[in-house]
Amino acid sequence: MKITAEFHGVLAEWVGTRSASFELPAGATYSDLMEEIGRRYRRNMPDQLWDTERNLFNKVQAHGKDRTLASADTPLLEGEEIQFLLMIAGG
Amino acid sequence: MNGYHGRFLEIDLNNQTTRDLPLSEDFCKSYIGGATMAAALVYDRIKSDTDPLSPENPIVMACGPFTGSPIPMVSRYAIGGVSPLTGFWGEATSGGTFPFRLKGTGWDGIIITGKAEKPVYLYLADGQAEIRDAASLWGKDSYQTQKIIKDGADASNISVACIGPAGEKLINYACIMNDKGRAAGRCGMGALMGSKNLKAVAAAGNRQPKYADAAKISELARQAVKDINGNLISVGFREYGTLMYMDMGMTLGDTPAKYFTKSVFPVGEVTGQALRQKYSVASYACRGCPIGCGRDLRGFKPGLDVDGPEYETTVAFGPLCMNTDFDSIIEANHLCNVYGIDTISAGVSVAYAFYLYEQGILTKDQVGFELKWGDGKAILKLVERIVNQEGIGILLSKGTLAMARELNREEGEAAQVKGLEVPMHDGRAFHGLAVSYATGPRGACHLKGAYYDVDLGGMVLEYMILPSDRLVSEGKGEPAAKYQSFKDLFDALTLCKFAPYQVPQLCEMLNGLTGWQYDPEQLLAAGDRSINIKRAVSNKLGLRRDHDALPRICLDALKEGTTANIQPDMEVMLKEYYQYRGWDLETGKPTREKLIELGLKHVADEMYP
Repeated sequence: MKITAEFHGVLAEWVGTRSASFELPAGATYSDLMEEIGRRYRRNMPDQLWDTERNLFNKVQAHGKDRTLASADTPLLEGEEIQFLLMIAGG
Repeated sequence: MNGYHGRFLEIDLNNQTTRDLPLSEDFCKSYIGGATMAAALVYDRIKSDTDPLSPENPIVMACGPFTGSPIPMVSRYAIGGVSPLTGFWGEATSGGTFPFRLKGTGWDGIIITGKAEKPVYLYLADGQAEIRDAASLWGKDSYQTQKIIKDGADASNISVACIGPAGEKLINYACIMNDKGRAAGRCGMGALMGSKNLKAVAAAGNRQPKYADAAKISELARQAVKDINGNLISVGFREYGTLMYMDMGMTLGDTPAKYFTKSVFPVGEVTGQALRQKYSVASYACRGCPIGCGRDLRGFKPGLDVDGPEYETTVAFGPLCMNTDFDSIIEANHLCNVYGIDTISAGVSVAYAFYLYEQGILTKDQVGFELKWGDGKAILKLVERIVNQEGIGILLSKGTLAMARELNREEGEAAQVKGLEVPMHDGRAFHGLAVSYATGPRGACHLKGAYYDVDLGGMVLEYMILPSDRLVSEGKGEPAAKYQSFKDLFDALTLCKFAPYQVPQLCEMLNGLTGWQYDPEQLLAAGDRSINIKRAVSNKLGLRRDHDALPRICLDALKEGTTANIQPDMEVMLKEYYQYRGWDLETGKPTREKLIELGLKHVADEMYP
């Protein structure tokens, strides 16, 4: 299945791209996507952005079509676009 | 007394005298310091009819027990008095080096009353105070003033807080500048200084009080640096400054555009990333801060370095005016800093002028030129007219509430609470923020009511302040009140709002400095007391229940974006908020019982004779 990830704002700078496509096996979960994102981009990110225990972004929300991906084992949908938003406010 | 010098300096400019005002330990323990201590001192010194610009209105500059200590992110001070902009309690805070030096003089703060016959400035150095002639400084801008005083000073460890020409001209939202571009921006405290013919306060010294457990404080400070550096927020602020939030704010509908009538606007050209790409950016930090969120723009014009605009300023002169011309935003920021006016109130007043022009209320004849949304040059012309008090600038310099009244407009069109312009976060995107704005002790204040921090995951478990659906009103009143109290404490302890300290950590720090035994519950009670003493100042000056309101322009449902068709339910949240606070729903005053519970019996006796 094809999944597109969109990284917004400063997150795009830290990941190193605004958009990326992933080819994942059928039935892949949010956790599988994060595994791929980590493998591809983690070496460029600030250490503080990655939660090494959970293998997820720190302080980032992932939104699929009409839903928030709150749990690592949430199955992804074919062709889904996942929006990644940094949950840091201030200023 | 540990953590304090135990004295303020009291200055009477009428007869040019100074004297020490001793502080009791009970007083310090109740009001802690900073803006809260300032409010307690102001409460005792004003009457119901004190005119903000009268000699009787005191101006208090106060440090806290954290100021100057080894703990990072604590070089802050607060200024308090009756606000020339709102007529109620006014406060402003700033960082830089000045707070460290002010505490280093050997006083915990200063109280200034009266009015000098001629311009003066205060020179405080190592326990000595002088009132010096400032005739040659009058008319100088804020950067020139700081430089002249520093260059002519005997001491090298000196820092200066001053007003620019705007404060001299008593512009309602004149601010106080220190360490070049650091601003105590809000509430017009610069006009209060100007009304006293007080151009500047220069502070020199390294005096620090004893700490109850110095070894513990060193250990806590080391741990705090680790915590700060390990925090993702620190990385963001270090790399992009407060502008880091721009795209995120717009995505959430939290960044207002077109004078609060839109929340969708292409911000790509005015982000922190864009600033770094387009300009030569260096960062600077307040003393003792390992982050350094301040921006310096090198060579903005040939031979001219300027301060980089913060998020608030960039939105106020950017999206709020539909403007994407970064040069004009930076220049407007520079003008505000040089002349000494608050960029938030100025930006909102300028945006209101564009709005009124589009409505046909202001005309080309009145303004002197056309106002088309997004015209950076027109924005600059308006700012110039404000600071020079020319033409339409005179009206805009009074703030949005006065503008609406003078133009016979509905007051709900003025983007302000209690007369203080609404900052660059939108209560429609975070309902907890909406109730915080409406009830803020100085008016609409994003610093006390940063509820977006909570709903984006920044919980305070000790007080059960937990993230929830940001677009739901019910249940927000109580946690918003508690969060307001918690954040208000930062300006008592004198901490940067970005300091990521947890409640137990704050208790340990305060206790290590002072030797007290504050626990989380007592700390929250101190925050509640702080909100209530400020409320009592404003109640004394005529504040009522109906002043706790967001203006219509900031509540009308928007048509697009993530907050389309959404309106906070203010009545529900205010009721919950009042219930937590123990405030009377009819009068807007704290009940007698609540005041006594918080140790404010003297206030209760005066409020309920």
